[in-house]
Amino acid sequence: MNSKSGKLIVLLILTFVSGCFGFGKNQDYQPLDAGKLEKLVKGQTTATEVGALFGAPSQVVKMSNGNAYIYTHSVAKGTAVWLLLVSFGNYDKQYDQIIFFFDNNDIMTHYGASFDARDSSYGNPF
Amino acid sequence: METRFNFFLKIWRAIFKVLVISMPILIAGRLLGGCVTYQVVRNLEGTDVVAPGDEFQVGTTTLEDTLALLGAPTTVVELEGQDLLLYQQIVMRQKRLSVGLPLLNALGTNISFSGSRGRANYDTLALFFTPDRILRQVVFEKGTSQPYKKPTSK
Repeated sequence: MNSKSGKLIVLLILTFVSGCFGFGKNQDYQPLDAGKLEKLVKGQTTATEVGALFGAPSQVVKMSNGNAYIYTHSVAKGTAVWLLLVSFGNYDKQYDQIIFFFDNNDIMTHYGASFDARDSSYGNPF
Repeated sequence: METRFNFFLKIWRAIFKVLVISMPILIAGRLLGGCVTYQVVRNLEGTDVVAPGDEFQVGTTTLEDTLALLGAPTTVVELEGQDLLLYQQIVMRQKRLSVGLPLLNALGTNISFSGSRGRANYDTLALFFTPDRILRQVVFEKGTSQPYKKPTSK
């Protein structure tokens, strides 16, 4: 390979590889405190007490035999690479979620909790 | 004195050659950079949804058992006297190609073309419960194992 074509290749690489890298993090709603779940007693705790502990739910759903309060906190992490003509992106969104089930007397009968928001990661954009 | 002059002349010629070669490439690159873009984006939402095992028995498994095993569902819905718990993971892939002519911006017009192709695959576990909160039906679909490109049949 002569020096002229070598320079040309280097210039081509520099031209088309020029770009930048970016990353970002986004959170929705307040973080949920798993420790507060210990204060709840199935069959005794009321919807009012749950509201006092966790605040306003993100969503309320009418169920066949009562209601469900949904508390959500999400963490999304994104990475992106911009080259001259091509860009690659990766976006990972994970949730902390607690769902309380209440009977028709607003007594909590069950709850389910998942805490996965911390598993959100800055993934490889390629 | 003349030797030094020749030396600088050689350097200047070398720089000029590099500029002559590189400028059209750099200019073309900068111009293309504004008008041709290809984006590849991957979007993951939610954790893995696994196929239900033997622990889920219609008629015996309760809502409490399910919540203890799987945690909070992605969403809950009431369907004509039944309660539906949905566990879901979404994997979305999108590709987009844009072509435009930014040089025409100066003239007040802009011509651009773009095309995109995306696909969202879902892993879904749907659990239906009676009003007494006993498991009535289980539906599972592993959508993320589907290829990005739809296989063609001959």
